[in-house]
Amino acid sequence: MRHAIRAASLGAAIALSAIAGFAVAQTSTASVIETRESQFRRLGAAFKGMNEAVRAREPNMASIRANAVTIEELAQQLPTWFPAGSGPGAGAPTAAKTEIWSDAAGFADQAHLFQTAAADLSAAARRGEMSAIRTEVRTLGQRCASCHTEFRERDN
Amino acid sequence: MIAPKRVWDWPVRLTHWLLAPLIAFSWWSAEIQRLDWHRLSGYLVLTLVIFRLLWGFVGSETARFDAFLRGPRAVVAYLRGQAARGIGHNPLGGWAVIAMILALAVQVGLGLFAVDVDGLESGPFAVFMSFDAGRAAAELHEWTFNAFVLLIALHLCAIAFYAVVQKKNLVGPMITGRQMSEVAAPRLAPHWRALLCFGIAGAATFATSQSFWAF
Repeated sequence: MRHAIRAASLGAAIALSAIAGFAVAQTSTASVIETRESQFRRLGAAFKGMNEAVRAREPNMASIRANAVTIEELAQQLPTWFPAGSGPGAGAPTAAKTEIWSDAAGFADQAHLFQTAAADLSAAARRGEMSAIRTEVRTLGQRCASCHTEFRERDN
Repeated sequence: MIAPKRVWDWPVRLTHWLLAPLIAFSWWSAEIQRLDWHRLSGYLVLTLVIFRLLWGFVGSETARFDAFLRGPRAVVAYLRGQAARGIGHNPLGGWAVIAMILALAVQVGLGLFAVDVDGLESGPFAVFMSFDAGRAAAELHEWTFNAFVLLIALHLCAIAFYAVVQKKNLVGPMITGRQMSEVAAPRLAPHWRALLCFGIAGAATFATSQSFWAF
């Protein structure tokens, strides 16, 4: 009898800790995804600011430089926002496709292209050359779009 | 005497038949994420909406709001089977027109503030908004479009209902502008006034597209 009780409580303890562990894993995956999405929102906000500063009648060079720095910093961090296990089916909704991990080399290539474009834009912004800035903004936009086509679920 | 009468003037028909494909094109261009086309299409829709609002005040008789907007008693009487007087929109159809114009205005209005998910493309007024607020406008723009599609479905159902149950062809007059009627032909506004209204609507849209008071 005593054995049975001990076995039962041991079983219950294991089950409880398994549930707790699972819950912790769930919340940490959710928070990884949440952080990733908020970083992408910062990137989007910087890109919106960049576009507006470039398209303004009097291009706003201070805003162009500030946004270029933000974009470059975020581009450097971008590969770290996708730890293994933060893809679809990890317990929290995400638009990240499984290809990010199954085609890790392809994803790394895209990230690298993006980082290069961000660095080029930043350099053009430091030099203050509007024509180069416009070209690099367009290139950067294409880098965003091509990577998203390949590695992000369509938002529907 | 029952004779063909000009019920819809050319500006009303042109506006209607431009809106139908433009709405479809707007939907499709958003689906394939050609937001540059989508924005252009939105500007054309905005021009037509502004025109239609102006035309509701200074246009031909059957286009004017004060001619076709009737009180609830008239709507209820029409629903009970009382025949609509005159020519043009019946008391219920008049409110359907207002619903359609309002829905279009909301749709195109939200689009002006919308920002796409990557901050690559945006409406001309998004410059006044934070990225998150612009995203909220875009999501609302998407959501209200579903409501708008329901309204279009209702519009098509009504046309089918009149055709099948009431044996009344609404599509023909919207194409030719003519309808058999014993009522006196409605007063038509002069062509120059329509052109002036299109000009004003185009200029207002251009000013909007430049968001000229922003910079």
